[in-house]
Amino acid sequence: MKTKFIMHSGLYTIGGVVCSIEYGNDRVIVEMGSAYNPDTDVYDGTVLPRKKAWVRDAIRTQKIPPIDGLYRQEDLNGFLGLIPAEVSEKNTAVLITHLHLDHMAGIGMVAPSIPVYMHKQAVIIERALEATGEGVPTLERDYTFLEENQPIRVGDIEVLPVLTSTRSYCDFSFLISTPDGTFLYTGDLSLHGEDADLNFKQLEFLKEKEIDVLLCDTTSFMDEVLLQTNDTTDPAAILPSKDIPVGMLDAKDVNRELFRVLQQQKGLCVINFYQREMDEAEKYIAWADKVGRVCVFEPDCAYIVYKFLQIKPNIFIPDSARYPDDPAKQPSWFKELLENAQVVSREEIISNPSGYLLQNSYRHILELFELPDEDGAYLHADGIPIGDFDPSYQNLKRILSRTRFEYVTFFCKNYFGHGYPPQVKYFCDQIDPKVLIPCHGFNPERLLPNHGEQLLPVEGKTYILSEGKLTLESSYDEK
Amino acid sequence: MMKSEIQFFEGVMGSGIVASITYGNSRVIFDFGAPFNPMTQPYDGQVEKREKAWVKNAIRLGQIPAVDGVFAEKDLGLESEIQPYKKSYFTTGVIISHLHLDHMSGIGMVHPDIPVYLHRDAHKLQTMLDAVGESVGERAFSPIDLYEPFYIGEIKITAYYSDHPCAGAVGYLIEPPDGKYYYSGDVRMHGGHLDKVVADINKIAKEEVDVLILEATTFSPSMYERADNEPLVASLNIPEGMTSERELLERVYQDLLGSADLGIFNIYHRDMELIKGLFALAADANREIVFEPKTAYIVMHMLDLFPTVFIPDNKDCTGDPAPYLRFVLENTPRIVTSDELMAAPEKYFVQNSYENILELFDLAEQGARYYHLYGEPLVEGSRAYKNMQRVLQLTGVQYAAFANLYCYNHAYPNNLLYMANEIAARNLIAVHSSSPEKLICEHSRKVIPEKGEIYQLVDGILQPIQLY
Repeated sequence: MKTKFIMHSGLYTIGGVVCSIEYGNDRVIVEMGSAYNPDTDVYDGTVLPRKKAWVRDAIRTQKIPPIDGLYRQEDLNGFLGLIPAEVSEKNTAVLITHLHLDHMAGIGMVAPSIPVYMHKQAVIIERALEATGEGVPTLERDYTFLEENQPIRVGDIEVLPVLTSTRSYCDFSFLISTPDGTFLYTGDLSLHGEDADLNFKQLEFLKEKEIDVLLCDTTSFMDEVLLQTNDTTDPAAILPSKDIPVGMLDAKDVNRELFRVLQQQKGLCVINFYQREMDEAEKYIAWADKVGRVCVFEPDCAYIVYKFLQIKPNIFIPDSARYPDDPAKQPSWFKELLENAQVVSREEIISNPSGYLLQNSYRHILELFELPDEDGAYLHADGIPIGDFDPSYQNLKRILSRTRFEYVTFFCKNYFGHGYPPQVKYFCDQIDPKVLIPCHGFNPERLLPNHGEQLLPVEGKTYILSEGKLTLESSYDEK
Repeated sequence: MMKSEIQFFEGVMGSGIVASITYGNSRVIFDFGAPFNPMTQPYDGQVEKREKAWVKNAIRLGQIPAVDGVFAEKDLGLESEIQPYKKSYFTTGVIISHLHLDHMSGIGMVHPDIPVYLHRDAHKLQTMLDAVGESVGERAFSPIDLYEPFYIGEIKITAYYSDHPCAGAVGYLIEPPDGKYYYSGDVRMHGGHLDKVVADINKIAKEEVDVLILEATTFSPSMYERADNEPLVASLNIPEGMTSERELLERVYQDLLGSADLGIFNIYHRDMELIKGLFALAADANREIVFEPKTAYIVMHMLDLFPTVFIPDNKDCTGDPAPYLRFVLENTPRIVTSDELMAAPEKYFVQNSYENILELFDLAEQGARYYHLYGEPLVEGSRAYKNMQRVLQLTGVQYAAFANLYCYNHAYPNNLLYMANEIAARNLIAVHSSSPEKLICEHSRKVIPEKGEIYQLVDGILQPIQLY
């Protein structure tokens, strides 16, 4: 038997990495996300998702890859001749590094008989999201917890979850061992965030493991970031360095700047962040407290705060059919929240704008029309629409321009959430794999190995791992 | 003697006409729609409408003009600078030419005590649209008939026939005591009812109208420039390179003839004239016409026709059916499945709306031709249009847009000039156009009103007045 590797998707896209490692009938599928392409998402708010054809449509629109033995018979209905999970001989497990949609949007489509591993904290958040209707499209299914440094055995394959972030849902990289060798998948790699120290410590641990194949996040190797960090897109000019490139910010810089705005702004501060980031929510609560403001959340986000942080949050109820006044029409999660939260009214905010830090999601941006905007600031802290690549971003700017809120952001300009190119290069050189598969980026080819071979695998094709080399199955010589 | 006044709040340039004619405390507001701007639409599928503040937000977003005396105080808020209905000096009525959204999307915001008039067929259609979830806000309407005058205060109103594909489309003769105004609504000469259009133009011509407010949609750069090399000559002809609705249907028919592909059409299901034509086309092509449930419901009520229905695989069609769906299920002679359509594609002509475009993944498997006949999305370059193109490409259907470029739902420039010449009003205001200045009639004095400015009819001449 030989170890087989398939890169199903995610080589040339931001997110959407799905790959499988097989040994005999045992198989580990790493990640189950969809590439983040808001500009080309078929579900534009008008096109209706189909109910029975949901999995087939997800495959057709490249939200999930076509994989044998992973989806239910009734969902496939013979589609592309794919083997349904019910009749597959494979012993499969799906492993998720963290709770970002580009890493896990498809987990709800995996047949419930196949275990999906996530960290417990990720499951708490996902369940809260599902309750409010913001979770992934899903069947009734369970998730299996994974824990730091607790190996998961899938037949002859062993997966070691290596903690890379302790924040919110926790992030992991996966060290995957088969009888033929070792793979390391970085997940999202960040060496300048609040967990930078942890990541450098893990690097010391991992570089001793003699990794055969490294799959590495290369998000930052796109033109936009490279030109800021290196003034050139020439891969040869990317020299390994642990340091943050000059002119770029780290998480501490961003935090300091955001806090400064919060402290100095004379009016209401509104913040738009990715509302599953509970460490951010916790931070905003603490910051607000420090500067004499009350941090207030919209109900959907507040429900996650309530479930995850186990506190009674302050909530502001937007003028939306989503939150009916009539208790008989209120969904159960909303009722539960109302019993466990403090409601802050619009009038209270209007009478004391500088006393509040208010979360505002893009969905409810029109609330800004009836909130006090004099001397107010709109802190855009990585909430959707994140940037110009999203067609909704211009709409956000147009709506903001009809208010007096000052638009403040540090994201996308001098700050990037993924590891900066020289740092990623440093990480790879330290691991020094025999095969480097750069992925999760528009320009993975720009990450070059120091000694080993760079492989940009053909998506969907099977490779054999033998003696530290990955060879296309069709050209592999058994001898 | 008092003088009548006209004021345009919106719609001289572009779409979304909202204007008023007043005489003393009598006021007629004609049409009440939002400009059609899919490229900058704030409700992009993610941003949600606010429930209680929808009127305030519509005004702030420029989707409806800030007209005094039209909205309820509770919708405006106590601090609003806009005068609420209850404090208005005017006796107001709103008249709607037809049910295209750029002419009526705001009628649900009008105070319920202000009567909203529309043709009986349009009223019936609005009831059907409410039932299938396309309400613009539920309210009472005052249905009217052609040639039956009614009054708003001292102003007499009479509806005339206008050929536009939307059910119950009309133009209005508006008669304050001191003059006559005619508002054309949207009109065309090539929809198959030229005799009726011309007959009513002749009737209006006899009225010796003071002010003609004429739609000039086709005076857009893309359309007008096609004929720009030659002087515009008034006629009822269809310009070279353009088609009539009948010819459009004939093209689709010819394209389908002998084809083994499934025929698919995407329409705007307010356009009953086109739907009637599609029924005839399908019969001629020996294909069974199939509708989605919402359109089938409208067709059953408006045309008394009971077509075969295809039920899309979406949330609206599963679980406990909504009343409209129950009606359709009980009254359709047959429900056709995707398997049946795929087994014999050459036998069917099937509606597919943009919201159900993913059905084409299955339906188009054996080959399909997609006729884009004024159904959303319409504007090339918009996010939805690009999305439609992507999905069509993925499904492999053959796309045919005979409609948008070569066949307008609006009268061609030479037709409009014919109408202006025949009516020969003393003043001509071209509206609903990106180039209203280009419609010039030798018999009429050209007026291009400034938005918000008030014009008074003085001895048959419209003159701007200063507001103090």
